[in-house]
Amino acid sequence: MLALCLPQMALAHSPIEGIGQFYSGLLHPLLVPAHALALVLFALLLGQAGISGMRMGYPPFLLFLGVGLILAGFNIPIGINRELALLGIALLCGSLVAFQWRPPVALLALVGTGLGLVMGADSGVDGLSRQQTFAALLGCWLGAVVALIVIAGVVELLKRPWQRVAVRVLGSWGVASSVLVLALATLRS
Amino acid sequence: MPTRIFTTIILLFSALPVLAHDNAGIAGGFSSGFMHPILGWDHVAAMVAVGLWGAVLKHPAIWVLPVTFPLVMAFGGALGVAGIPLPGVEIGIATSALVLGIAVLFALRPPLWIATAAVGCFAIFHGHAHGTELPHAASPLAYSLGFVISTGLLHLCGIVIGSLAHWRFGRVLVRAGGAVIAAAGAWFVVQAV
Repeated sequence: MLALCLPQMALAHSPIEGIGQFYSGLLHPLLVPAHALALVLFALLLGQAGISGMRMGYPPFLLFLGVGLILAGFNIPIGINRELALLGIALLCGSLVAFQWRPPVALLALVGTGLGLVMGADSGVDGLSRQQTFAALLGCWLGAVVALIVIAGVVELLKRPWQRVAVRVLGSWGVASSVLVLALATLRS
Repeated sequence: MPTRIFTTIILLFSALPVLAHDNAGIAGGFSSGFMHPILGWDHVAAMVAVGLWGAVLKHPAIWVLPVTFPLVMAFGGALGVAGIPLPGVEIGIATSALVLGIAVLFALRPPLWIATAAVGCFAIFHGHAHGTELPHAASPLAYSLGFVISTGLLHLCGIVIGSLAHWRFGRVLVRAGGAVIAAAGAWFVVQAV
């Protein structure tokens, strides 16, 4: 009876150091609004562009996301306002999706490069050991890559007219949100 | 008796703090933004009317209007964010419900560019109203995503209802919806003036 009255906090923890940070990193790209918005809109764009677009967009994104995460892990800044850059990329991708404009495939590679680098550089964590930091960053890389491939893949499979319209509507929503927050950020600066 | 008193005292002192926390950041911003159009009947009426009218006009208006509206609304929102006053915002919002309701009631079918321009004009007023709230939001991006998604879902409601126009009873229902929205719009205009 007495034992039942003395509850203590349950401190569940993983036996492997850093694995909790890995899962946190895995979810990070979808939990930070600016990252999620830019990533989803880029995925919509690649899905609309088809297989050729994905071939050009995936490799630079994967590579430069890794570069950006490594820079973040060593606290090396990239010298730009990362949130504004992400919103600018989201605005570009959302516009292309909403108007269903097929950009040159080289532009997809460029956008993938920029998005990967900025997103990675903006994913730094503080107050963790080196092992935990890179576990989190590895999780972040994996989470972003999986999310991009899955969303773009689903969009590429959508063939019916109303489905393609729904993708364009999502693009317009992304543009609207990006414009509003960019306006606010510009005003505040 | 002493045992019960002792147990009661132990229970009282072993209570741990309740660490309920208010997710006022991203989640709070998103929910505030999401609820903003829904909590204004004038917004709801006009948004549903855009979807209804798009369904009445059929292809391509059925998707052009819901794509155009958020894009133009964003610019109205930017004006609101910047604090640039727009005269007659409330009257503009109320008028949008009235005009769009009438368009649905009488199944008006103007050229696509006229319908798009009309919807675009009204979108500026709605955007301005939402945009003025943005700087006060806990998470502006989450807030903006919230109200943009909420607006889009209201359009979708209108489109789904409008799709019932395939059937005879559906056409009556759609026109009745237009009448209700137009009447509500007239009431909102009177209130705003």
